[in-house]
Amino acid sequence: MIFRDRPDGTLIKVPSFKKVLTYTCPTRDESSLYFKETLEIEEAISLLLEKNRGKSPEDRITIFHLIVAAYVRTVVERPMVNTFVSGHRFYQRNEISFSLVAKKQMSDEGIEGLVKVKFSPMDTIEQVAARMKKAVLVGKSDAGSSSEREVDFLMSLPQPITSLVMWLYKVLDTNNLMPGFMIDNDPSYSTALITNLGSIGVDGVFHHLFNWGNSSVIMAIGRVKKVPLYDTRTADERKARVLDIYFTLDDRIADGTYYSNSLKAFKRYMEHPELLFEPPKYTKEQIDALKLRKGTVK
Amino acid sequence: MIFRDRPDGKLMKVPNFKKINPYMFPTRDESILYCQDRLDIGNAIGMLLEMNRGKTPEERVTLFHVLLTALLRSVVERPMLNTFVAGQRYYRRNELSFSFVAKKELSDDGEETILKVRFNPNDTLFDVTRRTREAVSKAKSATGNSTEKEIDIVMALPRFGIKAFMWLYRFLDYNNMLPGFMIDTDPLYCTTFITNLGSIGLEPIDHHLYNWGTCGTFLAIGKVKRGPLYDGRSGQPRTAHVMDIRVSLDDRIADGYYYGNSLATFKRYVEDPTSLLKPPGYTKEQIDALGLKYMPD
Repeated sequence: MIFRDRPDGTLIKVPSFKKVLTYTCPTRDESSLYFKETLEIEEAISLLLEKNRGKSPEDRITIFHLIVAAYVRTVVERPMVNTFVSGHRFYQRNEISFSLVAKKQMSDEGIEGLVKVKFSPMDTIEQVAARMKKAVLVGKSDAGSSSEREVDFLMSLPQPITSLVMWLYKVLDTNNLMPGFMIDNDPSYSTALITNLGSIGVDGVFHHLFNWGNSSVIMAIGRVKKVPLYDTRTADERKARVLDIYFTLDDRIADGTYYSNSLKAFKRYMEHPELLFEPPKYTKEQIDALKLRKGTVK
Repeated sequence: MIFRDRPDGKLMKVPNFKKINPYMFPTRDESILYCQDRLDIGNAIGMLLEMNRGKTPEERVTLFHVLLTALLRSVVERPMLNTFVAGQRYYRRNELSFSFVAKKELSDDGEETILKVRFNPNDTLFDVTRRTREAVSKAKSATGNSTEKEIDIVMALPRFGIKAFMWLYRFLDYNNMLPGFMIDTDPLYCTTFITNLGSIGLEPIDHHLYNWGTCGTFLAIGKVKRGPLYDGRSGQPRTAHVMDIRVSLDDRIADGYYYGNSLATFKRYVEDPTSLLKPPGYTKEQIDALGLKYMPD
């Protein structure tokens, strides 16, 4: 490692007990934890119905925006979920970015692409929705993103050359020699990858983590449905609209207690979505703890 | 392989159909089966409430201890659960050991440590509770255990030094040349790894298996709650105290039929736990079949 920090992250010191995990489980895919959470969204649906009244479909705020906005707040309040492992070292990511799947056409043949959207810790849900809509439009456009053009060029090369380039990319990445502009374009380098399977009527899957890049979290969102819920004390049944979220998490970056408390923070925002319409009141210390790079988000 | 047997296991002869598995699926993480079940723990709760009446929290027997004892009995009665793959060969583990995580403090910053506890096949619920409690209090002590000190030393090396050490460790392990004392202290060399997520109010997760070490079973335990149970024939629901579990299993060491019967054995002990209070009375043949070398008194 020539440089201490990466273009996308600041090196962090971790206890030996945590550091050893990157050697016992060197890859992300062999360090995956799979966890499903069922969220009750009655409150969220009522609130969104009220907020969207009289708006055109393009201007509406959706459940998907709400999930992303709730997760942005979770990341700010629980900064360890924005860390990652690269080259056996731990880094605090210097941006809050989510990669979203966008299909150019809603058909079997439609090309699927990933778009990376960056957020500010002070974003309200309206700002989150605006950033997502803008990025998805670019992702769906025929011009394609610069990352797509790079992929097209690379895949047009003869196979041994492609393999060589991919190998070199990994070597540079592991040894922290990768130029920042290449990371910036690549959606596999993000806080979380989010796939909204509910939008195509699928009820969620456990998605693998990518060894490529450094995303430590994948969220697959299921469809909205009405199901029986049982009170955990009395087992009384009631029916409510819910949504399942399938999390795949990197076991090396945080322990069960930290993940559990982070999930509680996320659930709190999903259960009280009105908070997301207000600008958050984070202290300077909270923002500093995120170690964000200046100028990543306008 | 210089030696036939390993310090932690005895070489097993297996059919070719099974022997080929570690060549088709060389790593544990590409051989995982994910299984889930719901346990009716009404009887266990009733039994524990009666047993723990008037006792201090430190003396109480918990549901976690019941699950450990049920698992111990299941492994003794279904010995294939205590086999493992190392260096693309099959071995029968010569100890009964479970590893689990203990946090020194139950907070975000609390340091986490993994501990390995060895059991005797004839242990009762009380023996399991005693051994577990002793190990936890030792691991939580500020002085730290020997594994932690070893990790600190290795992790202080530069990255190429750590990589060289880890490569050598894996090489020695694969070729059965790793000294017994190194395996002995490593918690990833155990019968089953258990994570009690219910203790922090979580539902269970599907956990990866570690390629490091030899552990072929990972058990994640969820929280205690009241919930519905459905009769498999009539579909009629009834409510009960339940606990969801998720188990990650190494597909190479046993087939679905064997795992299915093993899970049924485990479930039977958890759902009807009174027999865990008494010594199990295993025959000499049953104990010999385990091939144990280390049995704590």
